[in-house]
Amino acid sequence: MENASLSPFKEIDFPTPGQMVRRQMLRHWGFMFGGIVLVLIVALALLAPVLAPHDPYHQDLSRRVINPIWHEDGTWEHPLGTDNLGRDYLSRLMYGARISLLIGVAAMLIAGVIGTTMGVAAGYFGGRVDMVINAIITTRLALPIMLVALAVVALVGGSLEIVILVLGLMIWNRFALVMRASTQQLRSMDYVSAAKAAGCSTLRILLTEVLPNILNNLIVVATLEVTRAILIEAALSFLGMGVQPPLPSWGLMVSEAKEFMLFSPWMITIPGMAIFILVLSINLLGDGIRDVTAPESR
Amino acid sequence: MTKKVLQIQDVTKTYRVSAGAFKGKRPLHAVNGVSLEIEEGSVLGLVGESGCGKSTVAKIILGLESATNGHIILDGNPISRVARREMTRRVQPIFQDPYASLNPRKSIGSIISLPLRVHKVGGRADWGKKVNKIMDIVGLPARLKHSYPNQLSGGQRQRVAIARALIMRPEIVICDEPTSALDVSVQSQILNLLIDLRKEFGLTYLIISHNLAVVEHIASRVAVMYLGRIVEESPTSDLFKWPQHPYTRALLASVLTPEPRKGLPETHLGIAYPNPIDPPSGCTFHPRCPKATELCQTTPPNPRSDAGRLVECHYPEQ
Amino acid sequence: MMDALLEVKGLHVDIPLSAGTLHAVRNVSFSVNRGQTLALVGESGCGKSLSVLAVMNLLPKKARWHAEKLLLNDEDLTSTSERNMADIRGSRMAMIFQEPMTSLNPCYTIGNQLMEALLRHQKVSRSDARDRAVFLLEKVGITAAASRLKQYPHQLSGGLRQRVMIAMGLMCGPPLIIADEPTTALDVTIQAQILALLASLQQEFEMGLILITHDLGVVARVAHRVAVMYCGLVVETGDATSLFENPLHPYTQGLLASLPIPGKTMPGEHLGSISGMVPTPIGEQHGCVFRNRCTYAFDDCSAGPVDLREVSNGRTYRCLLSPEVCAQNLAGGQSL
Repeated sequence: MENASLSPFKEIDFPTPGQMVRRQMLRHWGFMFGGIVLVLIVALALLAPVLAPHDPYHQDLSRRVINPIWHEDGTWEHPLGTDNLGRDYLSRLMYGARISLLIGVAAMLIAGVIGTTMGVAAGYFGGRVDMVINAIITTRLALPIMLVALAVVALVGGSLEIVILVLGLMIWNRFALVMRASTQQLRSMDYVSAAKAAGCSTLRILLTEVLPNILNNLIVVATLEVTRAILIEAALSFLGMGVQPPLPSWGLMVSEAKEFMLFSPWMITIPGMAIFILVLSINLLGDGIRDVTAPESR
Repeated sequence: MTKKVLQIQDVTKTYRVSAGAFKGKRPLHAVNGVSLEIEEGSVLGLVGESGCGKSTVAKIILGLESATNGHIILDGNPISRVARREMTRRVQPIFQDPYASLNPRKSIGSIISLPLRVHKVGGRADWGKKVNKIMDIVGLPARLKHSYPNQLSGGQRQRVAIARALIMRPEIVICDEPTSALDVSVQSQILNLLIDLRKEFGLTYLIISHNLAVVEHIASRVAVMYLGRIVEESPTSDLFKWPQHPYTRALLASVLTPEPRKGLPETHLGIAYPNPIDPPSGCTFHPRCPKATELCQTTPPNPRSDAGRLVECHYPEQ
Repeated sequence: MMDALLEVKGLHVDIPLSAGTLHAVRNVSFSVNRGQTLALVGESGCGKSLSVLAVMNLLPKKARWHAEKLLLNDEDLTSTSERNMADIRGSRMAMIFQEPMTSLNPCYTIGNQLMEALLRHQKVSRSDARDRAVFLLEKVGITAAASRLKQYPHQLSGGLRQRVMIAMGLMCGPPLIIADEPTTALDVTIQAQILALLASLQQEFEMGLILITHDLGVVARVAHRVAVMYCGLVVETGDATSLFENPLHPYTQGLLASLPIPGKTMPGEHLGSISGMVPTPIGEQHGCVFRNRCTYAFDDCSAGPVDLREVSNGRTYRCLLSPEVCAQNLAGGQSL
């Protein structure tokens, strides 16, 4: 009888949500490409003090505007050449990665905390809380980030810290809107009602029932905001209203290379490409995360 | 006289909803003066169709919504005076959708042990044992403790919901359509489980359902709701054998049992449908009632009580 | 089967999944005649919806299907082009879905959607199409039909919307209607009305009706012929009376025993139940598909897949036990 009552089909073990996500991650080319490139850039940035061939601030006026290695008179001592003050370009690029990543992540974290708190509160409590927060979001949307940043820098002077602060306090709107929408979808789910009926406090519900389920949206928005911060900083620094020299911000490097655009186009192209590749890889990663976590099949 | 463990006294719940783009807000009386009593250890079935307010009653009892008017009395104490902690320990829900009632990001063990953690009952070691015990009682294999809801079938998920509801040994369980979203063969498993659990733990059930066959099987008393009011309340066998309200008759006639020779029933209800935002005058059932007269259009009927049976109709069947 | 409106033989539907190929529908055969209602009944995952989606060629892109025979009025549909299918859908066979909320486009009026159903297939004037729409709305029991044409779906109740869906299916006068859980989302008092409407329309227009549902009560009261499906296979067929009064297959018997019937089942007592869960049909099938849940399973049940046995004309079941033993099991009243 034992034989007869075995299942007619082989038992299928359904994967846990975590396993499903991991499996799909490895198959998503955008995620893998973006992820690998980003990991490389982060590694370069973190290891810059060890790997950079020169001090990025060291000026050597006798070695100004040396061409990079692919020109006939390039040398391996300065593989990417030197800028108009004789500073090694490769080293500046590597240290510049640190600045871009630092600004991107720090601004994203500040904005993330502000925006998520507001969005979740608006989405969960609804009513007056929602109205007030919506009014705040609308006000923020009415303020153009660039102009506010320029005004602040004009008043207080530009620096790395100021840029991070201004960006962090301005780019939270997408966090708020997306988290609000996600939370609204969840608040009427039965498992939230069951947690309430079990006696959970509101804070506990928000942290253990709501937050884990909006996490994937949160991560996607976070990656988008990192790129937004990086691009705005590059623009501000290009205008001279962001990070101040001699810090090797890529935006600043682009600005300093403007004058040499006709004769040494590589000077302006290299940091521009760097910004492009960094932003592209983060966007691909974010898209990949969204694709991989979105269709959660039952 | 058996103890009345839960009493619902003239409870009303009114929402304000917008009636159109420029029409402003109008009141929606989801629950319009409902009174019920549930005896200890009994099963009260609350039946009605969509829009009748039965789910809202459940939410009010569970504290998920607050009543606009009226009182809920738990064991002699109005729930406004009962601490939330105690309320949640004594009254627990089982919801309809086994897919939506479990947090997809939490493991089964974590879901079931949530009430223990919230009420800080015992220590961590204790929790593991209690979870194992309740999983055994509801028929879940222990190895599922580390699984996630998406790996379980609908019937298993509903068992998890039942385990979570019962782990604190509540007195009253509010079952909101506990089997409606399940396959037929799983429905009977869950119903049998609910019957066994009630006997074993001396539970009191409020079963909310639109499925009269299920209610007839498990409930000792049945209350029929229509547009926010109880139109009939009776012991189960009386209601099914001698329904008094025309709506109850129509509901019973609509139950399609698997008996092929009986053909399709005639409910005599007409095409009108109940709109809770714009309820009809007088007796709200009159547009669909085969017996409606002018009196029914103008005057709402008063509830009549007789020998344990309640009916709200000008012309109840005797 | 001279009169057969639709004949399906040997239908297979496979869906590739990461865990393997899901053999969702295996060797399914059924047929419908004019003026007849066939019910495909089974629980979730048995393949009933996928079977009719295959007939209409509306399966999801990933799915693969093939059939030995698929004849609609003697026209072979197994290898017909999508363009031809688009012409056939709506005009020669129409489908009514479960959710009236989502089957109607909220952006267009009822009249617009009804008329589009006809204008797509036949060259008639708009006013002729409107007349037909009004005619059918009245046929399905909607009063003040002409004024309803201007209404939008959200202005109607669920029952009314489903009536509109039925009218839409009838616009081209198709000889075959497929209704997938047409009353599951409706209130129980409306359900009886909609089913009565379908039955009377079917009689009047002499249509074939395939009714897909998990509700055995609906099947018993409405269907002429029944096919019970389990895990991708047809496990029992027959006319409704004979199947419900003398179910042969242990699964059918188990299903019927698990239903509470007011007046017949003892309140408060255990209902019959089928232990275990439906297996997922990935990979090869070893033995009878029902054997892990069947109380009557014996060694031969694991030998290989079981074929359909014919008891009499049109009455088949897929079990190794003889009809007499099956009847005895039923009389024994054992719950599985």
